[in-house]
Amino acid sequence: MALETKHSLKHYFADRGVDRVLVLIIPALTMMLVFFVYPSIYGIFLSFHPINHSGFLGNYKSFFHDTYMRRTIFNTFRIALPVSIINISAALPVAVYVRKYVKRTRPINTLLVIPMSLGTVLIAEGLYAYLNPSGWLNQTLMDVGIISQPLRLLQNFWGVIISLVISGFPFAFLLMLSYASSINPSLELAASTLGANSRQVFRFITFPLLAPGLAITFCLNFVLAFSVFPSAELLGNPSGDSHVLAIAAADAVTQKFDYSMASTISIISAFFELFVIASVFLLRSKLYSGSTAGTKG
Amino acid sequence: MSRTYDKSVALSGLTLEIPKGEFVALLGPSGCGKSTALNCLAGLIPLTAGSIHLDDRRIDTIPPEKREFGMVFQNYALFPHLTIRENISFGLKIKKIEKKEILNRVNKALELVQLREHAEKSPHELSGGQQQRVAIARAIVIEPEVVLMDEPLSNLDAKLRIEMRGEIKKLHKELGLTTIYVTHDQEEALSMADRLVVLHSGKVQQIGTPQEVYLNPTNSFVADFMGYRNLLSMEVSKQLNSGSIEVSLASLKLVSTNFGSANNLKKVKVAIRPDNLELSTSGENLIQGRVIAAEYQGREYALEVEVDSNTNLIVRTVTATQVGSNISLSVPANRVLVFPDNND
Repeated sequence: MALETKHSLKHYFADRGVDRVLVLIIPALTMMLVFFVYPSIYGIFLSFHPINHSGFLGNYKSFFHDTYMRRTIFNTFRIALPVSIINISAALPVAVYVRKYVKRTRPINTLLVIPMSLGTVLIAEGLYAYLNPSGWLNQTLMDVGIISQPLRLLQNFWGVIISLVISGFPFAFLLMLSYASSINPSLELAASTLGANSRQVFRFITFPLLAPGLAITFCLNFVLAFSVFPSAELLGNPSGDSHVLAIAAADAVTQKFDYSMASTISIISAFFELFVIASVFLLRSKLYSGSTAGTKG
Repeated sequence: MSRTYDKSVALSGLTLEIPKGEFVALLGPSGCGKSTALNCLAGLIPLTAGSIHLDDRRIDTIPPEKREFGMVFQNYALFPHLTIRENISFGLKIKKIEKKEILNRVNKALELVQLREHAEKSPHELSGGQQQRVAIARAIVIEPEVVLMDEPLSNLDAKLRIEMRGEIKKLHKELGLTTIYVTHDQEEALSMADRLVVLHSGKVQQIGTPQEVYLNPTNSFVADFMGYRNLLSMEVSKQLNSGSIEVSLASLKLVSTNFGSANNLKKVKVAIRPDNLELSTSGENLIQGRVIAAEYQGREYALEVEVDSNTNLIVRTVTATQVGSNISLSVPANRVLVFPDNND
């Protein structure tokens, strides 16, 4: 009898995916707790305890009352939204094209992984040399005679945008390519035998099936761009129109030694990110979200 | 019609004229070029040589969406994000047909494939057979000039396959649609098609009615494919009177009256269907042998009979026979098919 209960208990757990293999999640779980959960909770706690003892919501009040600080939210959105939109709207057609017509994608993938692996700081350094008034780009354009004055592409909005597109596009492309590759090509062939031209096939078949992947790619790109720091600092105008939330938070720490305010800014930043992600997923849930591999046999 | 890939020939010189309303099956083992032929017809693969005409119109130069061919794919290729109704109406919507007419025609198609009550479901909620019927409904609702079917039943279980065979045949009769059907299953092809095209490594082996192909295959490859399980390499040993020859392999000697042009050759392939071999002590071509294996197959037994030290014959019989027993077989001379040996 006792043996039976023991067995059925084992089955009960096995049925719910609980067994000894579960031990393997301990290292990951510890990392999560130590480096993410605890700091997040501590940050939230800290944000409600201003160093000037201005009360529970004191930091939040002073953030939103300060027009310069309030503008950082706008600045961040002004960079992150267009960058994410540029990246996915460039990545989508390229990925669909590559999947359809390019047989050997490895050279392309390698080419695209390079900017991803370089890191934003190195990209920023490179762009600095390339885009500055006496850099290659401006020199070439002036020598050819297309422009007479060097273009101002640094220390402003454009510098940040360019660098984020360079680092974000490959990421968006590779993600979209894997989503696109998971669509069974016979679905598109079927649509074309039913009379759909390539534009209609894309609109009615490929795009709806890619929408879930598109939403995820957009969100990941948005989050990356939203927390932009190095490119905003190095290529932008960190005290002007690229004074983004990440820089504001860093300034709070490095210039005012106000960890509490820095936490507040981070929490505000997280809130807006989550807001955008939630909106995207809400929009997505209205579209198809199942398998793209075609029907089973 | 030809199609080559780099250096390999996927399909060479398929010439075929199909009258309106005919059901043609392209038959052959995998890699024989039958799917290539179908995809070329549909316009999914361009031709490397030849042309395709529909009535007097040349169509191999126009894109698939303008060919008005309905195609049923092996994996059904139903759009997973659309309901059954939306799947079936897709082609009509693209053609910008009036909403009311779309509704009517889709309902009729749903009725035809008996899926009316599943109209608002998603493809993944249906069984394989039902999905297959949706795929067929989607292809025929656009009233195509030609319906192309690429092994549509190969993903179904045996029972459903036989059921669907009947349904496809019935649909074909009712709608009179010209149908080109690709399959590797000879039984399927025999039971459904008006005409068979047997392909092997990209080349047409035989074109004919099911009866012609079944009873009189033109070469040993077609014979093998049509279920002539006994395929022996023999030699022509004697020219008998006009119209019959003797072939032999060691002690086994057979008389054939069905040899085509093979009588002047030395090395030949001899094909005999297992069900043409009878357990009998009298009749033409008496063969003595010993049963070395017997397999019960429900309606009948499949026996492996050793007739010579290196030669075994497969025999199908309703008589229960013990392994190890000595038996006597006979086969009519006109059912001993002699072909040139292809490996020359």
